Amino acid sequence: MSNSSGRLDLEIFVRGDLDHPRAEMRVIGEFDRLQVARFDRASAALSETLQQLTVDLSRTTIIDSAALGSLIRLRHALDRLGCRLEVVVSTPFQVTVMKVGGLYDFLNVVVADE
Amino acid sequence: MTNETRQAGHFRLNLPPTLVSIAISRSAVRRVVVFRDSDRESSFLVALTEIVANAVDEHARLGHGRPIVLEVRFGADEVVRVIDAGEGFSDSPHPVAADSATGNGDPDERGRGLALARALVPTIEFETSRDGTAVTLPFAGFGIVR
Repeated sequence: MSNSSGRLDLEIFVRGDLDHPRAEMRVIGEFDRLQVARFDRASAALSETLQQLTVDLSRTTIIDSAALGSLIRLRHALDRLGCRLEVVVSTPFQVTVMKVGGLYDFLNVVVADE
Repeated sequence: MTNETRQAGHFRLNLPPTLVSIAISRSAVRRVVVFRDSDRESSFLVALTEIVANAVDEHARLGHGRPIVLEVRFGADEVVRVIDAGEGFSDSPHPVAADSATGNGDPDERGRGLALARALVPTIEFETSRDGTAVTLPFAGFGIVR
């Protein structure tokens, strides 16, 4: 049985060195329209020299349509920089959200083991 | 062996027509429902999130200050209902084309949200009347009310 009360709403970690061409954003918790502004701010602070960004959503408990909108904005911003985006998910609900949202290929979704 | 029949009942919460109602509704449902596993919990709560968000949007669009009602029914018929004063939804399936975001970067979040709700809780039901819209999300297959 699931018992998830008391969880944090959202944590965002960015790993990578300044001017290093690769970075990872790890999103943990509830990635929804109450939180997308924080994700957008973290995205805007990424280095313009990035060549590859991995957004790890495998530890999210909520991904809603506003979060998908935020990921779409990120993909377009990275396209302008010539940076490749990859999104990692792992649970069945995360896979469903990406597929039904029509973003599986657009966001280069990778399914990791749970 | 006992044959205990659970008493049926319901409770209602009046939620403000603002985004905070998304968090309140998820919290309320988590408090009263034991989900079968974390993936079913996430699926159900994403669908609920989309429906409450839609209700908030509808009240804002129409200038309604009236509350959005979250109703939980338990016993014989275990469901959560979200009742708003909006003008409703199209009850036809709302498919989202694969990679539809490759166009102008202006995603149709509302259509995408309803598609997510339908996919994650396939038994979802929409009823529209002159007074508004009621969306019913059954708990069957996801969990039980405590």
